[in-house]
Amino acid sequence: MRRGRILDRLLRWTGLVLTALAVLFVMAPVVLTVVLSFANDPGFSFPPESWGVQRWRDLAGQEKWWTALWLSARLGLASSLVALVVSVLALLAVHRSRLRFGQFLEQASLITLIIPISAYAVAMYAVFARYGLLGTFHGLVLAHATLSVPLVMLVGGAALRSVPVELELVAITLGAGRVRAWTGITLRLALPALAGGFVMAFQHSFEEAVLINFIGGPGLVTLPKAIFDSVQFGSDPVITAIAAAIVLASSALVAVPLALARGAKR
Amino acid sequence: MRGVTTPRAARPWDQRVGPVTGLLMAAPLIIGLALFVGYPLVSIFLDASSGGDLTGRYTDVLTNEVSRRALLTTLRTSVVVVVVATALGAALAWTLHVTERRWLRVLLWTVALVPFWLGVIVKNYAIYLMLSANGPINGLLLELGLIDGPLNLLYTETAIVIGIAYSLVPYAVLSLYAAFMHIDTELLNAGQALGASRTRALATIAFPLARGGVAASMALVFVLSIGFYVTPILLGGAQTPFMATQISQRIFNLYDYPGAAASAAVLLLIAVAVVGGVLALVGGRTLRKALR
Repeated sequence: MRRGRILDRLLRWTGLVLTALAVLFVMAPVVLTVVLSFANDPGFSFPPESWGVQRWRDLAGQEKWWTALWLSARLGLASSLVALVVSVLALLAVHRSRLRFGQFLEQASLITLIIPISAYAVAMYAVFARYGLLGTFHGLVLAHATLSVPLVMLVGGAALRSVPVELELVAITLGAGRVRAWTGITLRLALPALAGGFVMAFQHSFEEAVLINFIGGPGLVTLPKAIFDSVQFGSDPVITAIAAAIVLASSALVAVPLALARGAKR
Repeated sequence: MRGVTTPRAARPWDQRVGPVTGLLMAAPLIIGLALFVGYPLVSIFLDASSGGDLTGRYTDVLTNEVSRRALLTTLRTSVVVVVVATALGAALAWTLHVTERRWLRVLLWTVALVPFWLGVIVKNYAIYLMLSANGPINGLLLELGLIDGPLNLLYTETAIVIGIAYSLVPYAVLSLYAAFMHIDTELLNAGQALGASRTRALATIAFPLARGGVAASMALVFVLSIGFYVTPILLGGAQTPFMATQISQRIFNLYDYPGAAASAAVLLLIAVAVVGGVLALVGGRTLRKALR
């Protein structure tokens, strides 16, 4: 009995310490980045000796970051759109047609979630070289869409499963065609989840930093690639401001799917 | 899947569209998967054995001093990452499962998802700031008088472990939470009412129920960890012996594509072996649950 109680206390404390450690471990670097973006020191030190918005001003004045941002934004939008269209069609085929291997297809689409990304990047490099897609914008769109498809399939699949088929039956008995029933009812009800999937896909593409090193070539520099190159060859203090901007923008972006998900629950 | 064996005339009206229409709708996905997932993965193995050299490059990856070191470092690092991420993830996921305090739940979900929403570059840059010579960790230790000069925290294996574990904590939390979700906490209370200590109740009731999910979660974290590319370079330095950096050097510095393909193939085979092993151990349903 006694030994059990001591163990209990030990376990309780281990759990508490681990949880607190996890909170600190995750939050500290993020908070630090945002705080340091408002430091005015020429180099980097903690705590900073002077405060200001110099780094943000520098960031606004350097054109290469804006070019990279524009490329990343276009890439993110295009690839997420492709992923969304492909996934929605496939999901309807899986859940609303008599296709035999639908379940299998839905699971096969998730493969890229669990393969080591650098091995996959090598594979894509060779194949893109063969297709003549290395260093092209549409090549990157296809690659990013491939990585985004499983995200939309996961989120959208869960949503489609939760829409009762009977609702479509009602619409069809009332005279709607199948397509009308799909778009008017099922997809409409799944819309919040699909929008969430789209945002996830965009974010994933916007921050993709591995594949771009293999298939982007020298000409296409996305925002993550620009930061990566800059950090690798000596740290530019401006990056603190970019990183902070991404942290803040992502936090805002997270609020959207969360709000949408809450809307879907009602 | 319901089979369609009855002849057309005898079959009652079916709301679902026919298999051909379904196939057409799924065609973009099928073609995309074939061209950009299936074919590339197969071609790695073909390229690794190209030029009549069936196993030579694999032998090289496993025996060559440099690449063997990279492989061992990658595996060792990933094992430590699995331990760290699982420990932190389990603490978070279990607390999320049992707590009834709303604020704690919100806080912990935020913690679990922040690394998920930030790109690997931003995350690693933040950790780079934390670990740098005049960063907060060194500052704190100096202030406390625990060290005399700043420690070299950056460009070490520890830094890589921290960087990768940071990225993978969300995967551990989500998959472990899925494993814990179905454990009824009343069972633990029942065990305790019958005289077991909390520790004993957790070890003999909760753990056996969660075992499969924990194994699946660890496999997922491990498989993702061995593929990391950005983190070893940023936090371990470009020369760090890591599989991903090796692969990139082989392609872009040595122009040895087949060699890189062999390294990638080894990574893939390890991933397949680990996932396959866990699949055999816990079954497909548990593994799929971990993915969601």
